[in-house]
Amino acid sequence: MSDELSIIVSEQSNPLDGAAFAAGPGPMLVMASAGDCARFSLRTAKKNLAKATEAFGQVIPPQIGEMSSRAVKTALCLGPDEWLLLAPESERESITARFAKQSEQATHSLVDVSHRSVGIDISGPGAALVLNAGCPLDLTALPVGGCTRTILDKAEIILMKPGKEHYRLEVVRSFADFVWNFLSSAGREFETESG
Amino acid sequence: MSSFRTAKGGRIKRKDAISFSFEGKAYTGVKGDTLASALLANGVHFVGRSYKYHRPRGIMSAGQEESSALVGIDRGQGRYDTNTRATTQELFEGLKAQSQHCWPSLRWDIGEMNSLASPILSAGFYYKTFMWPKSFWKRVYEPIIRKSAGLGRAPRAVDPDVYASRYAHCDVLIVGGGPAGLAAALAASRSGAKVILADEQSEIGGALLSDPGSRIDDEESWSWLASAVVALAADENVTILNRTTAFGYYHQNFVGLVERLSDHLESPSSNLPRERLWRVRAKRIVLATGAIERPLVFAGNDRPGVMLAGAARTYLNRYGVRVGDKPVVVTSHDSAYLTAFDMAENGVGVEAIIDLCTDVSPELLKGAARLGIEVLPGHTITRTKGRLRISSIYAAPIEPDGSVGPERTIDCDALLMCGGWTPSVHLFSQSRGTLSWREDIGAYVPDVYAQNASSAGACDGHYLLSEALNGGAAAGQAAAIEAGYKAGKPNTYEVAEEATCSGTLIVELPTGANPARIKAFVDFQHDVTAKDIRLAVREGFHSIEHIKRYTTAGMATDQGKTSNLSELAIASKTLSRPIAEVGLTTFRPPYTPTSFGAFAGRSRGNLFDVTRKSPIDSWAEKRGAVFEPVSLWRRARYFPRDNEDMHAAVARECKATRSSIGISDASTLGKIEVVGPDSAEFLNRIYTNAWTKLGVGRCRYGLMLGEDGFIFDDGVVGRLALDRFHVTTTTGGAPRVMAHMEDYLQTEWPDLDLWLTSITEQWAVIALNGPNVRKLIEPFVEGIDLDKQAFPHMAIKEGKIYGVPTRLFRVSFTGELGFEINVPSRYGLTVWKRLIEEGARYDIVPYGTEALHVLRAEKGYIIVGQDTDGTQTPDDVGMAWAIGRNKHDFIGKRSLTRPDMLVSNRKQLVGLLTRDPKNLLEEGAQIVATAHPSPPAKMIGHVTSSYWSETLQHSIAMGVVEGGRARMGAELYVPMPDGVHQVQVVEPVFYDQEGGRLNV
Amino acid sequence: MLLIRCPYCEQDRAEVEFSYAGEAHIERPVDPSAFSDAEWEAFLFLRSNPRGTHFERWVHIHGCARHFNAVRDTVSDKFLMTYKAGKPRPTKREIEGAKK
Ligand SMILES: [Zn+2]
Repeated sequence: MSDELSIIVSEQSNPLDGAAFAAGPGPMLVMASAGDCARFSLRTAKKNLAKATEAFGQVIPPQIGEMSSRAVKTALCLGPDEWLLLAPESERESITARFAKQSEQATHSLVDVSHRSVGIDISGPGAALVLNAGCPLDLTALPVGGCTRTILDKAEIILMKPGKEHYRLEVVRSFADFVWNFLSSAGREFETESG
Repeated sequence: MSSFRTAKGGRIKRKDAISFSFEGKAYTGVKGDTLASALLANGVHFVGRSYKYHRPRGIMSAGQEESSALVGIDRGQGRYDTNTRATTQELFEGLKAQSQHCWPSLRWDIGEMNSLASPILSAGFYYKTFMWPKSFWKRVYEPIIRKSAGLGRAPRAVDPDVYASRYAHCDVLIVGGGPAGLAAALAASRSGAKVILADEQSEIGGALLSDPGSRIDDEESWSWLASAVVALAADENVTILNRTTAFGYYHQNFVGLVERLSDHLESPSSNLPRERLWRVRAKRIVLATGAIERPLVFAGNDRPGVMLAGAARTYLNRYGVRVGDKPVVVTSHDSAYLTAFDMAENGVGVEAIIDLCTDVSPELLKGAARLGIEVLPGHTITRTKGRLRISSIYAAPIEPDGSVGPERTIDCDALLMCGGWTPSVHLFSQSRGTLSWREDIGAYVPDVYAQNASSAGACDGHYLLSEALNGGAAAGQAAAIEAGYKAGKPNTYEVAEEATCSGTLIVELPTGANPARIKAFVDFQHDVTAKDIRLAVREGFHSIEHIKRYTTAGMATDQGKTSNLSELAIASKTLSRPIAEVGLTTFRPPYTPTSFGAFAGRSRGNLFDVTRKSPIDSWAEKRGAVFEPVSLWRRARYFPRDNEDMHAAVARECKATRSSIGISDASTLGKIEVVGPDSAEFLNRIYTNAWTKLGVGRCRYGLMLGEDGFIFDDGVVGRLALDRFHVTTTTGGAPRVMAHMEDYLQTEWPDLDLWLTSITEQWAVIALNGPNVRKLIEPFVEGIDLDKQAFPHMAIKEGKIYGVPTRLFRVSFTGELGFEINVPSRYGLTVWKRLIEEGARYDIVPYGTEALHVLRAEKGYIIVGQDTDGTQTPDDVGMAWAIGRNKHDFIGKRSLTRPDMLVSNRKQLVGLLTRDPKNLLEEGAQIVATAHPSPPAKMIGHVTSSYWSETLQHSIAMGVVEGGRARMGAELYVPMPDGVHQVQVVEPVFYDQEGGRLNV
Repeated sequence: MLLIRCPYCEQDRAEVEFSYAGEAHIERPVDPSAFSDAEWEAFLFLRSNPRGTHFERWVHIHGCARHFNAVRDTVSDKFLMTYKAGKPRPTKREIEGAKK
C-alpha cells in the first residue's frame, strides 16, 4: 500500500464547514461552526469513574448536567451512566487505547462518535435569546459550566454553557443545517432591535 | 369636512399628521390614533355592515372587544388582513382599510334586504333554513352565504412576513398594564423578582390612559403613569411587552403571548418579525386584565353612533376626539356619568342622561346640574332613529308597575350606553379556576384558583382606581414572595375625590312595544337579538352551552366579550332561573383572534421540517439525482443521464450493477453499536436469531419482532469483538429500533451488562455491488484480506481504505458480490469520489433507491414496511429459518403460537408473475381468486412490490396472499383500472435462486 | 405544555423533551411460554385506562434518555409524582404525600 493512496485530513467534509454569523450592534450575536475534535460516548457505572478519569486524563463529573472542561478536554455528564468526552483529534487513539486496557477491571462502553455530530459556538448578549427561539429551557437556570441534552425546535441538541454569554451546542450531522438555519433565521432579528 | 378633534388634550401627537384611506376615500389622522379614533375625528361612524342582516354598523368600543367595526387592512401582496378591529389598529402613513360584510358597497348593500326578511333569519336559521335540498348546500347556499356574509377574503399570495417565537421564564408574569398591573409590577420588581408585564395595547396604562383627571398620591394620573413606566423600564429584571396579548393560559402557569411588532409601522424592516409568539412559564401570575363595559339591549341599539359610554370617554381623553356634538347617555351604571361630565367639560352639549335607575346619587345629580345636563332617572329608551347614523331616541319613564309611560323624542348624534362592567375572567377560566357570581356587582368573579395565580383590579370585580392600585400592589408583593423573594410591605396608594360607582344589572330595557317584533341586539357581530335567545329557550334549549350554539351568540371572532352576560341574563330571565344557576359558557383560547403565522412561527420553507442529508448527498445533487424522502432523510432515487426518465435510468442502473459495478449511498441505514459482556445475550432476546455462536468477524441477517410477534425491523448485525456488535437497522426504523432496545434494556433487563450507542451518523456507508467490486477495491484496502476464503459472504472486518479507517462488511442486498464500506462520516464524500474515479475503468454506475428496490426484489429480499405492514410473522414472509430453534425466549416468541398465528390461511408472501411479461402490476392492488368475481369480491391479498426487471426482461411482483405458499403455480387475478390481470403464484426469488453470484 | 419532573435529572423539564411509553408496572414474564393464551393476551393487550390516578411510563428521550414512571391524574392532567424505573408502585399514602 503506497502513501499516495491515503486521504489527507483536509479532504474531510462537514455540513457547517466555515459557517459564521454575526448580527446586531456589538455584535449581539456571534455564531460559528466549531472545529473538528475527537468525541466519545462513554457508558459505564458511576463506580468506575475514577478509572475512567485516569484513562481520559481529566475529571469525569458524576452528576447529570455537570461538565468538566480544562484546557482542551471536556467531559459532559448527560445521563446517570452516560458521558460525552471531547478531546483534540490527536488524542483520539491514545484515549481509546487507555480505555481498552481497563475493560477488564471496569466494564464500560467507549464508542468513537467523533464524526457523528458537529459543534456550534454561540456567544454574545443575544445568545440565550436566540437559543430560546426554539429551546424550552430556562437558560438562566443553566449554570456556567453546565450542560444538558435538550430540544431546539425540531432537533435534539446537546447544549453546553462554557460562559455567561457563551454556549456551545452539539448536533448530529444531518440536523446541523436545520439547526444552523434556524438559529441564523432567529438571529437576524437582532439586525432590527436592540435586544 | 368637519373635524371632531378637540382643541387640546389626549395622548396623540397633533402635529404628526397621517394620511390614510378607508373605502378608498382619503382621510387624515394624527400619530397616536387608532383607525377608529381617526375615523371618528373625521366624523365617520358608519364603518361596516352586520354579518346576517347587513345592518349599518358603527364603532362600538375603543378596544379589542369591538364587535362591529371590523375592517380589512391591505398592506400589499400577501399582507391583506381580514377582521381587523378598527379600534385596535394603530394608524400609520398610507394605511388602507376596507369595510367588510358588504356587497357590492358599504352604502348600497344588497344584503340589507335580509333585514326585511329577518323573520326567517331567526335563531337556529343555519340549522333550519339550509337543510334541503342537500345538493344545494355546496352549489348554492354556501357560495352565497360566503359572499354576502363577507367573512373577509384571505389573501392568496404567500405571507411574506416573518413570525418569531421565544420561550421565556419569569418569576412573576403580570397580564394587563392598567393601574392594577402597574402597581403589581412595581411591587414585585422591587423584590428583585424577574417580572414580565404584558399589555395588549400600544401603550402601557390601561384605564389610566382614559382617565387624566384622577390624582394618585397627589400626582396627576398621567404623570404617575409616566414615572411608573420609567421606573419599570429602568429595572433590568422587568420585561415590558406592549402590543402583546396573553391569548391562552395553559397547564402549570404556561401562558401564550403574541407580541405584535410591525402592524403599526408604515414600512417595517424586512428582518423585523411581524409577530412573536412568547411561550412563558411563570412561577406566579397576576391577572390584571380589567373589565369590559356591557352594552344595553333595546330596539335599535346597533345604529352607527351608538357606542359604549366608556369608549366615548376614551376617545375624548386619550385621542382628543368628540364622538358627537349632541350625545345622549343611557345607563344602568354610574360610570357613564363620568363620560357625560368629561364631555360636557370639553364643551360638548350632552342632551340628556337617561338613567334606568330611579335612585341617582345626589353627587351625580349635582354634577349634572352644574354642567347643565338633564338627567332622566327611571327612564328607558324604547327605540331609536337614523339609518346610517343615529338621529334621535325615544325616551320614556318606567312606571312603578314596570310599564312604560309616554315617549318623548330627543335628537342626538351619538348614544352612549353603559350596562355595567364584566370582569375579564377569560384567562382565569382557561387556567381552570372556578368563578362565583357576585349579585352586588352583577358579575362573575374569580373564586377558586387552579394554578399559582391571583387577580387584581377590575377583573376581580374591584372597579375603583384605588382598589386597583392597592390590590395590584398587594398581589405583586405576594407573587414575589411566593416566587421565593423577600418583598417588603407594598405601597399604599391614595386616590383623591374618588366617586364610588355602582349600578343595577338591567340588560334588556323596558319597552312598550311587542318584544317579539323589535330587534334589540345582544351579539352585534353575529346579529343575535334578545328574541332569538327567548326563541331558543322556547324551542327547548335550556343549557347555556346549547343556547349559545343554537343562536350562535358569542361564537363570532369577538367570542362574545360584550354579549356573554346579556345573553346569560336574558336566558336566565326566560328560564326563570337565577344567573348563578344558569352558569357560563366555557372560555377557550385564544382570547382574541391570533394569526396562524404566530403559531407557525419559523416552521416554513426550509424550516418547515428537517431534511436530513447524508455525507454524500451533495455529490448526488450535483450529479442531478432525483430525490425521494425516506422518513426525514432525502435519498437519491435515481441518477438520470441526459433526458432519461425513471424507467430508463433504473433499467440502466440495474444492468450496470448486475454486469459490473453499481455504487450506492447507504449512509442513512440506522446503526447501533452494542458493547458489553452481555451483548450477545441481549441480541438473543431482541432478535429471533441466535447470536451467541456468531464468530468475531462474521455478520448475520437479523429479524426483530414486536412483542405481538409481528416483524418490527430487520438488518445485518456484525460481530466486531466478543463484546462488541455493529447493528444495522432500516433507514426509517432507526429511531424506533433504538427506543425499543433501550426500553427493554432499561426496564426489563437492567441486570444485563451492555450499552447501546447510536452510530448512524458516525459512519458514511458506501454499498458496492457487482461482479467487479473486489477487483475495484482490493488495491486500496489495507489490513483486510479480501480473498473469497478469508473474507466470505457475511464477513466484517476493520481496516483501512485509502488510508481511512473502515468497517468493511461483505454483505449484499442485490444478490451480487457486495461490500459495504463504512468510513467515518467526514471521509464519506472523498472516499465516494475516489471510488467513482477509480471505478470508471469498470463503468461504475451510481444507483438510487429505485434500482436498489428492483435488485432486491429480483432476489426476493423483503423491505420491512413495504412487503410487511405490521401484521406479518416471520413465517408469513417465508423467514421461519431466521428463528433460532433452540432459543427459549425472545421478544415476540410467545405470540407466534397464539391461535390466530397458526391458522393455515394466513396471508403469506409469494412471488407473482404476470401472464404478459410487459404488464406491470400496481403496488397496493388487490388480489382475487377468479377473473370476474361477483361483488362483493373476496380479496385474498394484495401486491406489495412490483417492478420492471431489466435483467429478466419481465415484470416481477411480490404480494401477500391467503395461504399463498399452498397456491404455488396457481393462477390468480389482479383487478386494476385498465382491466383484470392474470398472475401466476411463484416462489418470491426471481433471479439466481442458487445464490451462486453471491459467493464469488 | 406540561412540565415533567425527571427523577434522574431531578429537574422539571418541558414536555417536548419526553415521550410517553404506555402503562407502567406491566412486567414482562420471565417465562412467557408458561403463559396461557388468555394470560398472554391480557399481558399484551389489556390496559387499565382509568379515570383518575394512572401509573404510566415516560422516557426523558431528549434529556438523560432514561425511562421512568409517573403517577398522573387523567382528569386534571396533573402529574402527582414521578419515580425511577424499577421502583415499586407507590402506595396511596405516598401519592397523597407527593401532592403536597
Ligand atoms: Zn432526565
